[in-house]
Amino acid sequence: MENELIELIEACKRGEPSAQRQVYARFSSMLFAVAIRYTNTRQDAEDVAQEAWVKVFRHLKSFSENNSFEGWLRRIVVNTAITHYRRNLKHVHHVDMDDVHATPRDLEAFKDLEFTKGELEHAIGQLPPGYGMVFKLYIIDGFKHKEIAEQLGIDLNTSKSQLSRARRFLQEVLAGMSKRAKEIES
Amino acid sequence: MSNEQQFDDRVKRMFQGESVAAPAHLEERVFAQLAPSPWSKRLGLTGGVLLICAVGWWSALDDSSESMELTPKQTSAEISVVEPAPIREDVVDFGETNGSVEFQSDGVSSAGQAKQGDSAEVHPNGLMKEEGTTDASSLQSETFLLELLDRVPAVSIDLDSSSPSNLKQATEEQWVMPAVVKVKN
Repeated sequence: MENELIELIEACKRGEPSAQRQVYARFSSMLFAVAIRYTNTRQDAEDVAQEAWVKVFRHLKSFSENNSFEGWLRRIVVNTAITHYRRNLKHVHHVDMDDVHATPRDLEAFKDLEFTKGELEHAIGQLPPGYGMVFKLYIIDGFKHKEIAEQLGIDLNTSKSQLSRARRFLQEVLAGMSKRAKEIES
Repeated sequence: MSNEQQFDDRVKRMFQGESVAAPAHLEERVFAQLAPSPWSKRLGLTGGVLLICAVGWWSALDDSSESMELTPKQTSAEISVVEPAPIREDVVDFGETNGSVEFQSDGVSSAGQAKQGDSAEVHPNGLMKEEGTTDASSLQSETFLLELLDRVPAVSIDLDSSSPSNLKQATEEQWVMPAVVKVKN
């Protein structure tokens, strides 16, 4: 970790507001992007980001400079988003996914599938909430199935099966988007 | 590398270095929450003041309950030491302006003796002569009070007259020698 950042963190640990503002300015875009990824609305993202930042500054003394500060921040905002998700779980309509039946030819076609980040985000948005959470936690933020199961309060095998289904669902959706785009072009 | 793993890697790469500008008001919200609010400060201050008041009130209550627990003997001793002084000041004027009070005893030779004479040997009749304008009933009640005081075993209960400090203190408080004193030998 660079010396400037270490000094900033040390100043934040001493409670210096100017240092806290600098750290905020440096990482707020990253943290807000993660918050948006795990929430459905911008208002929810702002709430999660705010809660996460307050946690960051209040628990900064527990951060060790030997670790990645960005990774630590990311972990805090993800955990805050999970808490927010679980808090609102009673309002979420639970939808189970039917098995996606992809033929071997389809699976082969996924290898060369062209898609943009916007298309991927749109496809992830179509996943049922639970599946989306498992997919994002496992694929994007590198959580293990055991951690996911503990954090979301689900069975380990549920986490594994939901990830598998979510992956196939996304591939199908993205393939469909790509196919339609090619048809429009031609 | 399997199809799944390729897909996972691609997705992961897409989200690396993700960045979305946070709204400006979010920063203010965060730091407003971090700053200790004036409301909580005010609450803390008020709480502190109330605590101090409560402690003061409690200690005052404690003191008053201690004074209530005095034994009757102690109370009478207090009266004998403290109460006579103001009464004598009110009633015994010794006629400073005319300077005509005469002591019949020839014992006024030292401060200590004079003090004892003050507390026990001033006769009510002498006072009646001094206070000519006072009406009879009030003089009677004052006389009665003085007689009562005479009966109280004053000073000698708790004050050790042999102690120099006690004598000195008593002299300072009670020495009311008139301006002109004629002593008959």
